[in-house]
Amino acid sequence: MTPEARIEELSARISLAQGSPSLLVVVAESDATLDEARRLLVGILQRAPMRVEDLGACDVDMGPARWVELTHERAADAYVLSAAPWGPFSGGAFAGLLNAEREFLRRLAGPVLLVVSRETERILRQKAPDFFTWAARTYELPAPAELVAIARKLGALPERAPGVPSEEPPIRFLHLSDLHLRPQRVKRYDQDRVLRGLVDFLEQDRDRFPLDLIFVTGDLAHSGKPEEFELVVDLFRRILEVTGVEPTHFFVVPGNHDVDRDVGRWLRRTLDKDEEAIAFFEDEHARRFHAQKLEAYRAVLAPLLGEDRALGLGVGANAVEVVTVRGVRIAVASFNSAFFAQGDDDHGKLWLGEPNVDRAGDRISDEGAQAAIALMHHPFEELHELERDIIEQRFERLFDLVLRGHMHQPKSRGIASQRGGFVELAAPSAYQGSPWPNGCLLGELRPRSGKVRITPYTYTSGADPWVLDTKVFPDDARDGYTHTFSVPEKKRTPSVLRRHLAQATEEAVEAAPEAVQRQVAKVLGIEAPSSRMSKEVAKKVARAAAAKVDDPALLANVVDERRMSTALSKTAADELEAGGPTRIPRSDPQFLEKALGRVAEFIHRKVRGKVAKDAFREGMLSPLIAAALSHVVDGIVFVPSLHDPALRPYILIGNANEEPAVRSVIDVQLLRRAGDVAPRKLDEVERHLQTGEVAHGALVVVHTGEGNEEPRIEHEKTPAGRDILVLHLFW
Amino acid sequence: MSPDPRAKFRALTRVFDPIYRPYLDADDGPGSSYVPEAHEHYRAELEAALDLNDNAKLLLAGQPGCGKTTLLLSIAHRLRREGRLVAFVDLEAQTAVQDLGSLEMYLAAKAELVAEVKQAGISLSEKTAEMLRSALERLLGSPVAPDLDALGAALRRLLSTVRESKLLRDELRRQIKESGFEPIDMLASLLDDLEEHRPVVLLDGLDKLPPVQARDAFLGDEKKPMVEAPGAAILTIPISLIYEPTFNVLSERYNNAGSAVLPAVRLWDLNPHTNTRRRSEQGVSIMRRIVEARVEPIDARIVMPEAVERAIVGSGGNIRELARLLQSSVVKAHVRRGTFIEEQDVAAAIADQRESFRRAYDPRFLPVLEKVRREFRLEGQGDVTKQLLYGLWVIEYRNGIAWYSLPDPVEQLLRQMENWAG
Repeated sequence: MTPEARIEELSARISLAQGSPSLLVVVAESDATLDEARRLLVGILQRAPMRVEDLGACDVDMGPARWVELTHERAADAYVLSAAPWGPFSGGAFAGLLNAEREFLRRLAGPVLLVVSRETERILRQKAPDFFTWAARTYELPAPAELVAIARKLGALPERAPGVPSEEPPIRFLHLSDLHLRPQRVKRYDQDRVLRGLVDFLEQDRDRFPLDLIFVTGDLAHSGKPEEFELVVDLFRRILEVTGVEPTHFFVVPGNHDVDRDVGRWLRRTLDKDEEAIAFFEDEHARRFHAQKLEAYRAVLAPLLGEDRALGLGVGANAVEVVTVRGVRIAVASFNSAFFAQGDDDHGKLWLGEPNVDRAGDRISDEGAQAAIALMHHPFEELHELERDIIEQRFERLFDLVLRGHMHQPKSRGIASQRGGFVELAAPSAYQGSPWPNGCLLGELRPRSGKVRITPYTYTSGADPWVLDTKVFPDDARDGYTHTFSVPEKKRTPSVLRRHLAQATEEAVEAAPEAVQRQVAKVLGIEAPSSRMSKEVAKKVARAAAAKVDDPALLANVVDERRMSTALSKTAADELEAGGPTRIPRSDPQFLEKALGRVAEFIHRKVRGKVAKDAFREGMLSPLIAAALSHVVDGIVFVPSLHDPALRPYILIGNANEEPAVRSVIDVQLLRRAGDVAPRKLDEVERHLQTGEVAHGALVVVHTGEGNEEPRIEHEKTPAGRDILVLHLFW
Repeated sequence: MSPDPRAKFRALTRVFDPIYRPYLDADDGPGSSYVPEAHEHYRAELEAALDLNDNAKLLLAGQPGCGKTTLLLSIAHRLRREGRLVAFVDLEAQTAVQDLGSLEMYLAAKAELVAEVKQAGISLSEKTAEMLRSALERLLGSPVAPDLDALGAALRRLLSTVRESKLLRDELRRQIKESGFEPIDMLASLLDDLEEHRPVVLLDGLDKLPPVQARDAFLGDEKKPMVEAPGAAILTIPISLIYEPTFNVLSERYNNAGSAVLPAVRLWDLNPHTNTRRRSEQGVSIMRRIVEARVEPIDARIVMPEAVERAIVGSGGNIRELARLLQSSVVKAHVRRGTFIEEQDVAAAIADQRESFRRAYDPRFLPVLEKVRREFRLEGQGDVTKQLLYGLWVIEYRNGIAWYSLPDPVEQLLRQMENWAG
C-alpha cells in the first residue's frame, strides 16, 4: 500500500469505528519525531468530517485506565495519543502497565490511536503481547517528509503559534575524546570492560534513534605508535558497526598523544611571529616535517574512514568537510592543534594558524552550510598568545559548535558576543582507567532553532555500566540532567564579498588621514607610536582593519562610498560571472523582469545582511545594481550620474541608437523605514518613457527598515498610466 | 439490502473488534454469539472435573484471544443453572493486577462470594458472619454491621482502597503478616460455611500477572493460589507459565495441570503416523458459526461465504484473529466502496497481516518456524517460543497431544522469504 492509501484506510477505519471502543497502534519512525508525527496525523485525520481529539503525549505511568477517563471527558469521534517510554527500563514498565490494564480498553469512549516509535512497538510486542493482540491493527506511518507532504496536500499543516520555533528533528551526534589506547598488560581487562560497555551502550542507544555524526577530538592513542592505532581502528570499526554511522560521518582530529614524539624531537618547537605562522600554514612544503609526526595516525585512519578525509591533517579549505544530514548542510572543520605538541610543556606553544582558520571560514561561508562545527584537541588557552584571542574571535564568527578534549574534564559554555558566538564543549576522557571518571557526550543539534541539547554519560560499574551523568548539569534535574544551549546566529560572509571589502578597507585606511588611522589602531588594539605614524605602521593598521572587515562599525566609519561601491561591483562581477547562466538577450520581451529577478537573487543571497544597514548608503545603490545588471543582461548598462553628479542616479540599459524595445530605464530608491512611502521618484522613468526612445521602465526600492522578506517584483502603473516594474528588496 | 451499507459496516466493525466481547451485549451468560462447540471437548473435561470433585482446582491457560474468558463465563452460566454457587472474580477490574498479592486476590473472591450469597438468598452462619465482620472492622478501623449488605460494602471499600494505593496495600499486608493470620483463612471458612451449595470460584485475570510475578506466585515457595481453600476453583494463568521448566510440579496441586492449555479451534487434523495435516471440516464449521452468530443480527448476506472461508483459514483457528481479519476486511470493502465483504477484501487484510508479521520478524524465529511447518512441533526455546505463541505466529492445537501449525499470513511470509532467498 502507498503511504497515502494507508492513511486513507486508517481514516476510513476510524470513521467506521466511531463511538465503539477500539485500539489502533500507529508506528512512527523514531521517538525524536513522535510529537510532530502525532500532530500531523491529527491534522490529517481532522480533514475528514470527524472530530479527532489530540490527547497529547501520554506519560509512561498513564495506562488504559487513564485513557478511559480522558476519552470520556471529551466528546470526539476518535482520539490520538503518543507514548515514548525512555530507554529499555521504562519501556518494560510501560509494557507491564498496558498489559495489566488492557481490560479497560473495552470502556474507551471511541477508537484510540496510540502513536509509538518502532522501538517502542518492538518492546510492546515482546513485553505486552496480550495488550498487543487487542489492537485492531497496526499502521505504519509514512516517513516524516512524506507525512508533511500528505498533510500539505490536504491543507492540514497544523498552525503554529507565532514565535514558537517549529519542531525540528535533531541532528544527533556523539562526542568522544581522549581514549589513550595502548596495548596494556595489567590494565587490559579494565580498558576492555569500559570500552566494551561503551560499544554496548551505543548499540542500545541506536534503538532509540540512530546517531547521525560522531566526533572524536584527539588523543586516540597514547604515544602515536602504530600498535596503539591498531586498537583505535578496532574500536572505531566496532563503533561504526553498532551505530550504523557512515565512515564519512565520523570525524577525528589528532591530539598531543597521537603525534610520534620521536619524529618531533628534531623539529621546531613553536613559531614566534605572525609572519612565520602565515608561512607555515599557507605553504604545505613548510609543514611537511611536522606532518610526518602524524604518519602512523594517518596510515590507519585513512583506510578506515576514507583516503580523502580531512582527519585534522588538512589545512584551510582542506580542513573543512560538508555533509548533508536530512537536508541540512553541516560543515565540519577538523583542526590539528597538535602540530607543535611535543611534551608536557605545550602550553602557549601551539598554533592553529589564522590563515588556516580564515581559509576554512571562506569555504564554510561559500558552501552555504547551515551549521558549522569546529573540532580541535586543545583548549584555546593552550594556543600561542599571539593568536589565542584572534582565533577565538574568528571562531565566534564562524562556528556554532566547538568540540574539544584534552583536559579530561567535561566543560561546556555558550559564548555570545558581538561577532556571534559558539557553544564550546569539552568532552571528558572516554577512557583513563576505571578509578577515574570516563565519559562521553551525546548531543542533539537543531540548526534551524539554534539549539543544542547535551546529554552527558559516564561509566559506572554495574550491569549496564554507561549511565546518565547527573554531575555535569546538576542544575538541570528538571530536564533529566541534560542541558540545552542556544547557538547564536551567524552571518557568514561569502569569501568573494569579504575579499573585496577587505581590499576596500585596506585601501581606505591607508589613504585615510592620520587621525583616522590612529582611531582605527586604537579600536583594533594596535599600539601606535606617539610620534608621526610611519608608512609601515599605517600598512599594519590597514591590514589589521582588512582582517576585521566583518565589523560593521569599521565599514560604516572608515570606508567611503566610492570604495564600497567598487567592492560591491567587483563582488557582483565575480559572483555573477562565476559559472552563472548565460546573459539574457534583450530580444526577449521580458528581459527586464528576468534580469531584475537575477539581480534580486544575487543581492538577497550574497550581499544583503553582510553589509550592515548603517554602512549602506543610497549612493551605492545604482552602482551595485548597474554592475549586477551588466553581468546579467547582454548589452551596455550605464549610470549617467557617475559622469554628471547633477543627474538622478538612474540606470540605462542599451544606448541611444538602439530600438526602444531593447532599452530600459531603472530608477532606484532607498527606504529607511517601513511604511515610508515617499512620493515615488518616477519622474526620470516617466520622462524617458515619454520620449518614446525607451520602452521599459522599472523602479528598484530597497527597504532597510524592519522586515526580512524575500524580494518581489510587482507590475505597476506610473501616474501617466505607463506599465513599469517595481522590484522590492529587503536589506 | 438496506439503503445504507455504511451503518451495517459500522456495526460489523464493532462486533469484530478484537476487544469486543459478545457478553457485553447480553444481559446474562456468555451472550447469543457464543458458540459452545468451539471448546466443546475441553469444556467437557473441565465440567466433568467440577462434577466429580467438589474440591477440584483447575488451571486454564491459552494463547491470547483463544476464548478463555468467554469459556469461563459460559461455564459459570451453566453451573449457576445447576444450582451451584459461583463467584466469577474479574481480578482485572477489582485489583491492581500488576501488583497482585494473595490478600487482594482472596478479598476479591470473598467480595464476589458474599454478593452471590446475597443474590441467591442464602444466609451465612452466625459464626462466619461474625468472623468476617470483626476482621473487616479491624482492617478498616470503623464499625461494620453484621448483615450481608454491610459486609459486601465493607469488602468492596477495602478492595478499592488497596487497589488505588500501593502504600495502603503494603501497610495492609504488613498488618496481616504481623497478626499471624493467613489471608486465605477467612476465605476458607467462608467456603466451608457454603459447602452444601458446592461453591466454585472462577478467578479470571491471573493470566494478566506479569510473567515474573506469575512464576513467583505459582512456582515459588509460597502457598499456591487457592490450593488450600475448600470448594472448586478455576484459575486462568499466563501461557508463559506452562513453558517454565518446573511447571509439572503443579500437577500435584491442580487437577488438570497436564492439560491446562485451551487450544485454538482445530482447523486441521493431524495424522501423527504420517505427520500430515488435513483440513478439519468440523473446526471450520465451528468458526463459521462464530462468524454467523455475530453477522446474523446485522445482515446475514452482507459477508460473502467465500470471504468467511478465507478469513477462517487466515485466522489459523484463533478466534480473536478471525475477528481482526474480518474487521480489516470490512474496512477494505468500505474503502473500495463495496456493498458486500468479498474474498478480495479478506485477501487484502491477510496481506496486511503478513506485512505486520514481517515488521516484527526476528531472525531467531526462522529455524523454529520452519520446524513447526515441517514437523508441527514447537520446541521449548525460552523467549522465542513465548514470543511466537503470544504473537500468534504459531497456533497451538490439541488432539490428544499438543501440536502446532502456522497461520496463513506467517506461511505467506515464509514462502516469500524463501522465494527471495532462492
